[in-house]
Amino acid sequence: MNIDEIMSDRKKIAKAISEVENGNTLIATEALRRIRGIDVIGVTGVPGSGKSTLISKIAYKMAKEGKKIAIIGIDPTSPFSGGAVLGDRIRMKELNRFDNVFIRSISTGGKLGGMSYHTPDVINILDAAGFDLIFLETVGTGQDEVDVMNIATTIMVVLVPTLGDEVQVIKAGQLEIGDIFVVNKADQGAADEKIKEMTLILKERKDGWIPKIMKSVAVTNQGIDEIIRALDEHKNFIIEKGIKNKKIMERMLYTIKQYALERIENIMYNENIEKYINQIKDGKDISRIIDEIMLEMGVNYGKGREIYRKVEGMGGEGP
Amino acid sequence: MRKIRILIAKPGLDGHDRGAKVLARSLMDEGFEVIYTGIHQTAEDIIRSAIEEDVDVIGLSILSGAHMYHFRRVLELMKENGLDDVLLIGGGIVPEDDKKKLIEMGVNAIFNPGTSIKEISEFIKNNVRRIK
Ligand code: B12
Ligand SMILES: Nc1nc2c(ncn2[C@@H]2O[C@H](COP(=O)(O)OP(=O)(O)OP(=O)(O)O)[C@@H](O)[C@H]2O)c(=O)[nH]1
Ligand SMILES: [Mg+2]
Repeated sequence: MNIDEIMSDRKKIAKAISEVENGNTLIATEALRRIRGIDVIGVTGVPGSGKSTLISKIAYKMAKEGKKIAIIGIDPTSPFSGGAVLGDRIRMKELNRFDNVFIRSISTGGKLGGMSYHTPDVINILDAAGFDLIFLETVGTGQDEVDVMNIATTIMVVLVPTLGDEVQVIKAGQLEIGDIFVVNKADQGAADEKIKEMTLILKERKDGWIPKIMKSVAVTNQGIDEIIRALDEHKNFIIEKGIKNKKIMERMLYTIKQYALERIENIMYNENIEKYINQIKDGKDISRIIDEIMLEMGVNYGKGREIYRKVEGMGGEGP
Repeated sequence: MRKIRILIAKPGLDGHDRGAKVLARSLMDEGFEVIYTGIHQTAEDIIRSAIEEDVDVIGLSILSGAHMYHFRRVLELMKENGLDDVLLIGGGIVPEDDKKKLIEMGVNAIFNPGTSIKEISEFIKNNVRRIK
């Protein structure tokens, strides 16, 4: 499958995504080579806060103006069965009328941090395929889910007025990564209170951006125009400040890092665990096995090896 | 490796979604990836989701009695869109006579109330057409 061909229709894009999810590095690399560096809006926040509904409403308005929009909805893989229920599409029904919208649901594949190893590949395919903008909805597990910052150009954090006391707000990791904070479900509680509380805590980002905070009622379309305006402002900010190129480069490097991580995981566990167990059974020394794993991973003991040999009394012959 | 992906959809005005939700959850427990799209789907919606999600199986849940119409329409669109390698199955309230007709039309299997998840799961695993 050739990338130019992939771009030609919905079905081929969908197939290409399956390919990279299946570990086809050829297509993944071809896509990576051809990315144009489009905006990726990462949307994160606790489960049920209204991420999918908000994306649907925002994308609706943008799609109506003719923008080509792709949406990726991530849901967790069950650690017990390896299966998943992917339900973000339920809230996006109204986008079915647009030919210029593409939606895909993916599972975390059991990886922590809110995304699967191949999520960057999927983003790259959609980028290369000619979309103008990507929304990436991550698993709403909350505080330590910050992987999204490595591939998004703008991060929107969705909060709800009823959730979280001050303590929780202060320790939440998402506060440091958000460019835009939306207090959704403003119809269900004291949204203005929450905004006040948040304004006290939010600080200027390292790049000079002052996080924006606003409220919305996604189900009735309230606050959507304000969110679109804020997204636009941030988009322009990172271009003007020259940060956008850096973010795109980060995405490219992060993509490659995921290959490496997956490879390491395969070497250490999936492919070889049985082999190691058998070797130990056959009486092989554990330290030998560790050396071999290190070697296969390309880790060089370098100086450490010499030091080990020089230090007396460490026992054994050393690596 | 990628899991077998199943779209569970409820076409038309039928609001009985308990079975579809139970099924989605149980199929997850069997190790499948289930894309649940909710109620009130048109046949066009279902086909679009099936294409974008690149599913191996489309499962329709219909308790309203309108199964003949919906299955016919989805089959038509599947042909039109070249989804020949996708399995089409269903469940809900479908009388025996209609069940036979649907199978003749090209539906791969219908599961009535009381079918065990194991049975559904085995059927999918044994009949899924793409080799992964
Ligand atoms: C609960 C129920 C309701 C609830 C629904 C709640 C909900 N959110 O789901 C309420 C009270 C809202 C309701 C309303 C109505 N209901 Co009602 N309802 C039922 C009832 C008693 C049980 C359905 C149920 O939940 N079963 C439990 C689930 C787990 O089982 P299931 O859905 O059958 O699914 C299993 C299998 O069929 C199969 N399966 C199902 N889908 C799929 C899909 C795939 C791909 C596969 C592989 C398998 C599969 O696997 C599941 C697990 O084993 C049935 C009677 C019955 N015994 O079935 C009537 C029934 C379905 N209802 C009926 C009617 C008429 C109505 C109303 C029109 C009544 C009215 N006049 O207002 C309304 C319509 C509502 C609407 N908008 O569509 C009729 C339908 C008649 C027909 N088909 O000819 C039934 C059959 C009752 C009857 N005997 O008359 N109902
Ligand atoms: N009252 C109210 N309900 C809302 C609002 N926005 C979303 N909802 C409802 O909240 C529920 C969850 O919305 P989703 O959009 O699925 O939330 P989510 O954050 O994507 O959920 P997960 O993907 O499961 O984490 C749905 O029933 C929505 O209809 C809102 O502004 N007000
Ligand atoms: Mg969601």
